[in-house]
Amino acid sequence: MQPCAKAWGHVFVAKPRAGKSGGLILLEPAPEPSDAELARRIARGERWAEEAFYRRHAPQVLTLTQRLLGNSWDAEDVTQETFVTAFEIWHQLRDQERARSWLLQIAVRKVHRKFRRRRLLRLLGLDRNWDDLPLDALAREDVSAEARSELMVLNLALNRLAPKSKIPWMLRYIEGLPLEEVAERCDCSLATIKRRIADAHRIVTRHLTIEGEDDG
Amino acid sequence: MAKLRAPLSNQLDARVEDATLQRIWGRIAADRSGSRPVPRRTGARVWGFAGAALVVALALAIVFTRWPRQPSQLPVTATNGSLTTRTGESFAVLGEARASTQELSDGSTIALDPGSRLEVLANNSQTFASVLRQGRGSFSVRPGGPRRWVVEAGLATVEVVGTRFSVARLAGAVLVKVEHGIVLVRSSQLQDDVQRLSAGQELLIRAPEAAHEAPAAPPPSALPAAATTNAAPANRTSLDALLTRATDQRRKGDWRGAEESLRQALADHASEPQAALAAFTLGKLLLDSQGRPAEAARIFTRCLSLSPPASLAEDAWFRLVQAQAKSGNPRAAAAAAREYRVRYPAGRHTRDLARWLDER
Repeated sequence: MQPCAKAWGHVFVAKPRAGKSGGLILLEPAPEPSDAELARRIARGERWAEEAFYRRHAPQVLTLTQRLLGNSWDAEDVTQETFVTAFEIWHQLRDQERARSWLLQIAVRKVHRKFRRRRLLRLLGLDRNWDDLPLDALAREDVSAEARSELMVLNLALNRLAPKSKIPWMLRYIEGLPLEEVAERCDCSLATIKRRIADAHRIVTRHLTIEGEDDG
Repeated sequence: MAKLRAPLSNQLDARVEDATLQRIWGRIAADRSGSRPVPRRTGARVWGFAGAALVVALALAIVFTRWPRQPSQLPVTATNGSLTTRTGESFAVLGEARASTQELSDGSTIALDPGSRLEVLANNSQTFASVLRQGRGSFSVRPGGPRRWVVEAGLATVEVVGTRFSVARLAGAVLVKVEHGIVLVRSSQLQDDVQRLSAGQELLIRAPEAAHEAPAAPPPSALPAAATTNAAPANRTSLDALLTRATDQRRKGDWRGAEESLRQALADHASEPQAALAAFTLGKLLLDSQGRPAEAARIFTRCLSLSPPASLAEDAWFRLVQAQAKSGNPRAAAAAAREYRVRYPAGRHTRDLARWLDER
């Protein structure tokens, strides 16, 4: 087995220098480990692999939760809870090649739970939170004011939807996921997801026009 | 009206700050190392949690209903509802020679640059007031909390509900930058003594003797009064409703109805973050659909006084030039065009502006 060292999530593999019989050893960065490799190492309890997995996938999880929740603090909380839960139940991951997909499924579940908690707090009049990241605030800097205005209207329309419809619609039309993946992320059948997206789409398109990705 | 094209992620910013990721990882690592265990919420525990939360919330609701306006009569304990550090220690001064970051008991964070000093003036269940004596502090305030945050910084006072912002004391000036949310900056150097800042905006306040060196700003005489009150979340729904109604009316060609809705939005909700967008939309409506450029110019000026996001501000300056020119006011149009070029030397509309002005 080759000797190796780990630093900042990179694996360095020791190789004997060409033409030298011994003594000097050159450390070269090994190729980035695949998700499956990281998953195996996490399952073996190697903490550095957890951090490497986090560094690779946290930006996507955080971006997704920011868009779904519209609140930076809730998104940070959900991102944290997602990784903590994932590492705790890592033994339940059956297909290590699909660790990323599994992680995002956990994240979407946590978002659903966050919406449920918000609703409970709102019912009790204890929700004093306000959303600081509507879609128009998340727009790229070079997006025109007109498009930003449309995003604001979209945000208002989405806020009128129940999370069970809003989340699949956003995964489909904002993240651009295929229907099968949306169904998987939401733990629903394909038929249910199609129906929920269609219901949401009818409401959204009362207020504005969305081109592309038409699910009929 | 612009159409949105799916997937909309193409129009959204996917950048994430390293500091945010590092902060989250710090908490995950703490959880994983067992210093702050995260309870696992399986089936029955979830319902147990919900039930307990319901009971606690009902009890709190009863308490708040019975004593809603007598906070000062609440029992004073050692902490008196005050903020402490994560480890439960109270504090009166933060900062030292080295950079420091302090996480507080409510999840808020204060990060100070080397050589900064922050002194606590009041710390209780309603208010956390502090004074930044020197240096620079970045504040990340948990939104929805019960406390009003106030940061004094000599020339200016910053008031916060829930946001991320920084305050820096410079030689003869104070710089306030907002990363998320909204803050109110109060200073005698500001028009009407107050300015609202939203995400991505910054404000440099100079001492009176240095004020003439301040960077170009919209001519104060041209700007109506800035928003002077805190955003009222309770009114947010009605603003949303007005904006939605205006959009529907525009789609149906009901310009008059849309104008009324937008004017009402501006009149009733001028202090809310989306007011600038309402003003911009109204200005466009008056300029493009109604042929009322003089009124449009006034509304675009109003939009600029409402602290619009950077991208919207650039469009508003450009539209202001068009509206001033169309209303037969070439001097005002030229002044606005100069302002645009100073503010956005490589702006999106620079070429259009030059071509458009050349044609006149």
